[in-house]
Amino acid sequence: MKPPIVSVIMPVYNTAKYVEPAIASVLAQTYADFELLIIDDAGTDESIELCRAYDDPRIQIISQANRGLAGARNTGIRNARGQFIALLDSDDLWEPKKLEKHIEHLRRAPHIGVSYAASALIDDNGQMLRIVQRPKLHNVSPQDIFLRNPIGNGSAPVLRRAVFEDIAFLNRDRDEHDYFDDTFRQSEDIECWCRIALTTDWGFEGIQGTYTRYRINEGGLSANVVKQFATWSRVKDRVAQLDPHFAARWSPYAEAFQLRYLARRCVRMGEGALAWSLMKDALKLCPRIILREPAKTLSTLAAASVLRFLPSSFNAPLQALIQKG
Amino acid sequence: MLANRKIVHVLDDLAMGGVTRALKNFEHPELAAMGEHKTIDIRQGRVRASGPDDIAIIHFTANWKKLGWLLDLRLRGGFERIMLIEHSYTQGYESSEVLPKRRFRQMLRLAYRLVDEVVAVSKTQREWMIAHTLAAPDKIIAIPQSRICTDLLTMTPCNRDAGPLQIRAFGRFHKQKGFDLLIKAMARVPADLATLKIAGTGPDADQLEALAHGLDHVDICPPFDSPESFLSEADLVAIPSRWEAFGLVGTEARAAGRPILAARVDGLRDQLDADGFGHAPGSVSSIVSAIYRSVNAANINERGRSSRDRAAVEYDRMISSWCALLSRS
Repeated sequence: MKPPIVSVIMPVYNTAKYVEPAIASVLAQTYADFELLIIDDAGTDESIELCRAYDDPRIQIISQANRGLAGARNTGIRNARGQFIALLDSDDLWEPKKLEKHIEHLRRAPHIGVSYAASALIDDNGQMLRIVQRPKLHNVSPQDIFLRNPIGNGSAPVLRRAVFEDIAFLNRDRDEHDYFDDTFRQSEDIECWCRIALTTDWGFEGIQGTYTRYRINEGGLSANVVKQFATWSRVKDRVAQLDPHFAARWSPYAEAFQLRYLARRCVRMGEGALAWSLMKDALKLCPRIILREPAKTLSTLAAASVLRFLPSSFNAPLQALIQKG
Repeated sequence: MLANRKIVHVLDDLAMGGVTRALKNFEHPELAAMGEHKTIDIRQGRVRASGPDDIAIIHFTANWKKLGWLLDLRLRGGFERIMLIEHSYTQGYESSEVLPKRRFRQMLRLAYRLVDEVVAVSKTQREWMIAHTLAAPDKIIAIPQSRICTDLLTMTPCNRDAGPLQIRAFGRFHKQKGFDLLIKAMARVPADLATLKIAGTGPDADQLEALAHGLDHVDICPPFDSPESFLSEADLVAIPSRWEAFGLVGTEARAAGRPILAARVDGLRDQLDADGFGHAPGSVSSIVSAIYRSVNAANINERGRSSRDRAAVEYDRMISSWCALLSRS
């Protein structure tokens, strides 16, 4: 049998509420020459049973003991037969032309290894939030990846399989190749993209249009923000190992942007004190982020200070101001 | 409100359970005040408005033959607005019962085009309509179905003790309800873990009896008069339906303070939330694993209580959604 052109890799772990729309959005692709590899990451709900109900021959379900998102993607990539790999998280959705547009792009631009596009944010019920992540699309440098992660989320990129082969590393415990580092339980994406940017010649490029619907669950705890920063710091250390000169030049920016990003999340959660202290750290570390992105930096600072120092009646307009990313 | 407005409920089968219950909801004082409610059986003749402000609400199930009625209503009925409540058709119905899906959806598109608003009885049903472009999204309004459950809301909530999990199920013995799947699943669950009682009657009664034959932990009972007594010992109510536009059984179970174990399909999806135990529709093995999950759950009582909290507010929410829809102009 001829292998498919694209392998779609979808790890599934306790997403019964979302997984069927996700699968439907893959089966509705205008580009039909794909296999859908569903990785059953040993969840505890009926998600996988819902997946088994589809009788489309392009769907294949692979079960494994729980290894987390990165480990499940690795299993998918190892089993993929296509020359292109598209990632989709099981709570997100694609627009019907997603694969068509990215495959066209990758065929047109042989030096590009990672193709991505803007994503529209949706809420828990699938409603559009009227917010679109619009990253930088062209002339993307390694520092753009490290500082701003233009790929945005784990359901946006379509990659050449060759890219993964170039960054594969041997996992000695299991004697097989890994691509994402499964010791990360968060920030596994950005770690992988940085490794591609710094150790291979493959280019990153975005295409016009919005082809992903990315679900955000802001059910956040401030403890998670602290944990997220700790994981991100491991990415920073990894980058320093890969390229010390690059790290010396860009780490302060990247760290300040990361602090600012977390401060914005805190503002959305109403955590004024934490937002304020994160912004103070960001500006102390790298005041130049004001010059690099004045509007976003100053609005975050303003929001954090309002939330920190003014009564709560000021919150509503503030949330509106800070909504975008 | 308009003093002389008539709200005409158009139906063709007074016996259908969901429809009769839906009509009862319009007896709520706030809805009764929106106009004079009338019920008309379309088989008895042409339905016409008696004034320019009259609203028609269609409760019957569309099919190719009835498109003619709808067209007549649209062109010559003289109603200010025509709404259609979709009591029957859903994703689950379509995948279980309809072979020529393209033709079926085309029929629905035509029917929905002839009315001003389509009322979906669950959010999931609305999403299905949108996903298959059966009507423009702004024309489809989701008003999740509910009913008054005063008695059930005050009964003692579930109190799971150490013995076998007490599962209850009730409804019409018909393929739609999936009780056959549930009994087959019970055959794979040891009797010391769970006990099932199913109450009801219907065309499939013999088949269900035969399936339950020899299973000590499955009991088939006649229909009950009061759900309170049937549910008093229940830890959990199972709703293994193959399709279910909304599934008021779920509302009743939750109002009684019992979590549901239900197929993740149609209106039951709306009701599962974090407290219910879901399973893949039509899958015996998925029901088995859902039963095991609920047998092992340490928080059945808490899940029952928060199920009740949600069910308690749904009726008022439904009434106010209907008021808003009817007073829209």
